[in-house]
Amino acid sequence: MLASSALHSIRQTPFLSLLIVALIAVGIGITLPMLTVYANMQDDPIPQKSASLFRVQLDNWAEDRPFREPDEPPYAITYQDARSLSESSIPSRSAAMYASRASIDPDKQGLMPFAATARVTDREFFQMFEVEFSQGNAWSEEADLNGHSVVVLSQGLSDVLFGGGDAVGKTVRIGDQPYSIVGVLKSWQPVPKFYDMDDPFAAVEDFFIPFSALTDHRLQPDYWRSPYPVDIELNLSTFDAFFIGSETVFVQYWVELANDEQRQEYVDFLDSYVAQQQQLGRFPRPVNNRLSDVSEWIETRTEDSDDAGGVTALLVVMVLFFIVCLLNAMNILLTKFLRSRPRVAMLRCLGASQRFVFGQYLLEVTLLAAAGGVMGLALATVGLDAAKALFDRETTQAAVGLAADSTYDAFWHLDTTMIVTSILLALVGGWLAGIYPAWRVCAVPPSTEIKSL
Amino acid sequence: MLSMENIRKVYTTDTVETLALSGISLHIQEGEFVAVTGPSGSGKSTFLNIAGLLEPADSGTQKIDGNDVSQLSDRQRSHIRAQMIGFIFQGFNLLPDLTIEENVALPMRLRGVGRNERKERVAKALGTVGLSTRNSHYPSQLSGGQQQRAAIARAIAGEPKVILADEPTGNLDSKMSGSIMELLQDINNAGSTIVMVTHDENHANLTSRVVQIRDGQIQADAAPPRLRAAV
Repeated sequence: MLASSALHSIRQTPFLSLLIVALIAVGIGITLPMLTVYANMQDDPIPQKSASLFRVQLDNWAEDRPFREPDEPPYAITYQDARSLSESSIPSRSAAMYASRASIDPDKQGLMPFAATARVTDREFFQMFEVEFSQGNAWSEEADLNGHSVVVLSQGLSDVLFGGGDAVGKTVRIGDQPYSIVGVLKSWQPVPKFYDMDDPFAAVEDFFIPFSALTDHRLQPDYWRSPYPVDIELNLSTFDAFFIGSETVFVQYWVELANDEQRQEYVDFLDSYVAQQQQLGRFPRPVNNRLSDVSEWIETRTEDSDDAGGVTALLVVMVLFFIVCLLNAMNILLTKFLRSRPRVAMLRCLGASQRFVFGQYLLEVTLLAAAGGVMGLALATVGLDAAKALFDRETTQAAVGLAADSTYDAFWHLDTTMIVTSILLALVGGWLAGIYPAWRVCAVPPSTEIKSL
Repeated sequence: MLSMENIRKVYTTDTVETLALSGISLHIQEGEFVAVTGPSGSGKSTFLNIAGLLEPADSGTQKIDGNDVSQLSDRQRSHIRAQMIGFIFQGFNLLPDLTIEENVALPMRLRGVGRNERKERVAKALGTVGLSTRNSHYPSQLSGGQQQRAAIARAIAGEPKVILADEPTGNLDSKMSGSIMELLQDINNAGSTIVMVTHDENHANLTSRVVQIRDGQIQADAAPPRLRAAV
């Protein structure tokens, strides 16, 4: 009886019913993509090690102002500090790194030179972040020390250049120099890209070369900041002055510390290092070193990142939009339900309790909300494609017409949790919108309405 | 069967307080056919609403079939309405989107009566009111008199203890009204208790007892002139 009454009520007002379904669907369809992206951003990208990996910050900024209010040290450190820190034996592992880009000149018919993204780093990057290889391995310690022209390719770039065949031992021209390929990564895409939160949605770099090759190959960093006004033009001849022997920060520095004792020892080491540098006339600000584990680092940069902050802001806007949709749905439900007061009065006279009437309308709302949730899922799929287009960066694979990295692509798709979440969200939203109208209609005394049927 | 003791009801708005019933006491026995008469605003409808448990009295005691129903919850009152009371309204109040058969079956569906038993009872009730051949019609396809017959079938199908009728002939012409009154008399003769609010003295005269209400109080409670004359 309850179900047939609810279905009957839906059929009686098809346009209003459809409008309610559409409102919930649009609310879900708009909110869910941002919720998916936001939820994915909250995931721990490296759960097994996130508490033992630390990003290092040293405050070499100018005396008269902090890098960022209220007292945030620069996100990166200088080349000279990176080199000094790398001499410490306290961390189990450490890696200096920065993002860059360079032209790849493929030795393959029909393939024009194209720009690729680079990570200039130390060999311990791969072990520290547990990156697996499909071919070969990381470069040697000697290559790290002497800046050999060796390269590790991403799976995607290797596929582009060698069609999935053997790449190790072959040579690839990066810029104007030949690099010997020592390894090819398995598909890997941490989300967010915690080790470089300058762009948390960016795809993992196309190739990796030793940090020590920086002075020879002079790949310009994507990100750099200087505490002092820069009055020289940046080019190859000024590269060293600009990046090597200056206070310009551009090196992202990560260490792996096994336990709290090691962490404390490293904190003391950093304090001591900065105090020493202060005696040499550097670091004019008070000691303000930071060690942030992966979660802390993501949180720090999420507050600041344009993309990550944009996701949060968009999520808030979308949630507000969903609430507006629900308020509109509530308004329509109120109209729809109150219109049926005479009928309800008749049912009440014939023996239907308030609980029955309330249950009938709540069931009706549940059916409408469930339909809205399913429609919303379809809209959300379209919405996710739009969000991807908004935040996506063109990958090398895409640029040369190959499919994007599958892990990266998965980030933009609804998983089971989000599908269940969307249905629950629709149901809870529907109930929130429907409870008041249902209560209003079942609270109407039947004796006042019975003559108007 | 239906007993009211010192029932009082006041309607209050922001500025006005209206005394609808002022200490009414009434006892209706099983099998009686009672007409409740009185001028507009005398409190007849309020009496019927309270008797039918559609609204609670402010004070007083009310019993149906010996059970005190004065202090029951909405759910309990709804249960008693479904089990013991049949309603007939002036405007028929059939649901327009249901067939006559479905309308008649509605109270039994709310009570959870099984499909087969429901069918049997609906067929019997429609037979009693002479609408067996109209069971699949919609209300709009029937005349006013036929609609009221269907409403009566709905009221009796559940075999209630008491039938409450609010001006059941008020929307009908005299010919139709006569046939409806005959039908109600037949139902009463078959053993059903009927309480009917009416303006029509002729119809009141066809019942076994006439209760006159004025200004929320019972002015008279006696056998109709027809029966008094017979005595």
